[in-house]
Formats: sequence, structure tokens, C-alpha cells
Amino acid sequence: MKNIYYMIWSDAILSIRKHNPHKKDWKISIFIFITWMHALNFWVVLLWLKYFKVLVLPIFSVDVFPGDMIDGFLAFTIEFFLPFVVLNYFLIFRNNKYEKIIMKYGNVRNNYGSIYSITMILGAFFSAILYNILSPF
Amino acid sequence: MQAVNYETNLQHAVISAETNARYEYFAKQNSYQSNLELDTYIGIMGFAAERGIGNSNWTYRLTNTKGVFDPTLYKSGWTPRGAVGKGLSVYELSTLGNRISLGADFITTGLAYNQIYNGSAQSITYLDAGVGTVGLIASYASYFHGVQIPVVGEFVSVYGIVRATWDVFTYLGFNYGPSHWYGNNDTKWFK
Repeated sequence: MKNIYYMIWSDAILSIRKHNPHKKDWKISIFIFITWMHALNFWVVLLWLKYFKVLVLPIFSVDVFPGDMIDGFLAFTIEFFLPFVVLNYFLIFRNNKYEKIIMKYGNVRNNYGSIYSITMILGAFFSAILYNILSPF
Repeated sequence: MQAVNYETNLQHAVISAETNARYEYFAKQNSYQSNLELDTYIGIMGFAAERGIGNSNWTYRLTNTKGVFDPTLYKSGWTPRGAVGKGLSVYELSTLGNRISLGADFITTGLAYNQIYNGSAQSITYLDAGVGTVGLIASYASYFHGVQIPVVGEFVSVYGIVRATWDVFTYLGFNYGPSHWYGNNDTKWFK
């Protein structure tokens, strides 16, 4: 069975290289973008688990900077984004492992990276709206 | 001994609970920002980065040929060619601008989703999340389809400056507005 996780990465890397051939920072760009998609994916899952009272994580807050903006972003980053930074770095980019992944999955014609990304972007937004509508006052 | 009227007591309890919930709801809806939050500065920074240097042709360096910190801005967009400027690392200002802009977009979106998950979201939070989503779609279109959506950049930029303006005037109104002109008497303005 093909590993969907690697197929998403393979499609994403090939797409950004194809459509942005002169982009020097393509590695960090696609790394941050797909990791952000994973964070949104995780957020959507936890949001609905919270709604159905299956798993409610305690509120994680950071109070380092003045105001709420940076602290809120840091809390989101640590809770949802950082785990996938570590995971994706070691599974994809450490020792240029992505080259082997592209060798193995590059020939498979799919749009998994594209479909996954647009699903997560729109899924997160509509989940937020739906959660607000369905949540009791 | 006085008889207990359970029905009346229950009605009072329900009315009290409803009233308290109503007060809490409107207090949340009308909560003003008493201090300029960092999001204002981030909105301005993102706008400036997008409009100001995101489309610039300028280049810059941080160190000279000896490796000593010596930042220089090249308005002509100069980059090292051949022996001229050999050993210099020169960067494009537009790349820096786009990164700052994208970073500001991520910060706004991350904060919005964090507030929604924690149950502390307000109406403006969903607007932030929506604009952040539009920015992410623009990145998606560029990375996966090589399409630059011109309107999105302008839209996000306009939203950034409107949002920043809103924050600034809310802050000014809360701290220096009509309610402060006559002490604590908010009705004197209309007399």
C-alpha cells in the first residue's frame, strides 16, 4: 500500500519545483506550508473531538509578550504546529530524504498534495464557522 | 410557617440565569480594546512588507567582503557579477518583504484558530480566519498551480490596513473618546 503521507509530500515538492523553478527558498516554503496544513488537520480533528466531548484538551496558554496576539499565536504554534515541524523534518528533510521519496513516489500520477492542502484550508475555515453555529451559547 | 412556592422560585431562578447570560453575552460583544495590541503593529508591518518592499527591486547585504557586519541597501537592485563583488552575499528585498507578509498572515490565522478552539473568539476573529484562509489559498495556487492571484494580495493588504485602522481608532475612542470629555457622565454629551 502506498504511503499517503509520503505521496502528499512527493506531489507537493514536485509541484512547487515545477511551477516555481527559480524559487531559491522552495524547501523552507513547502516545508512551512505543508506543516501548516498538518497543523490545520490536527486542529480540525481536535475541534470536533472537543465538540462531541470525546477529547477536550486543557486550554494551553502562553503569557510572555504584552497583548494577546503573539502569545495566542505561540500557543497555537506549540500545540498544533511544532509537533509536525519535528515529525516532518526527521521524516522528509533530514539528510535530504525527500530525494528518495520522490524517486519512489514521483512516478505515481496523483494530486494528493494539492487535494489535501485545499481540503485542509477550506475544511478548517468551514469547521470554525460550523462549530460556532452548533456550539451552545 | 410560610409555604414554599417552588414554581415561583423556579421561575425566578430561570429569569436570573437568563439575565446573567444576557449580561455576559453583551459584555463580550461590547468589550473594547483598552490597549494597542501587537496585532495592530503586525497588521501594519504585514501591509508595509507586502506593499512597500514586497514589490521592490532593491537588494541588500548584511556583511562586507571581509565578513564584517556592514549592512548596505542597493536601490539599483545591484547583485554581484563575476569578479565585481565577489564574496558578497546580496539578497533581494522583495523576498524579505514577502516572508514578513506571509509570517504576519500565519500569525493572524494561528491566533484566530487558537481563540476559536479555546472558546474566546469574537466576531472579528472569524473575519481574521477568513482573510487568513484567502491568503493561504493564494499560496496554494502559487505552489501547486503556478498561478498568481493578483486581487488576493490587494484584498489582504486592504484588510490589513482597515483592521489596523479599526484597532487604532477603537483604542483612541476607548481612551480619549466622548465618554472621557465630561468625566464619567456619558449622557451629558446629549444634553
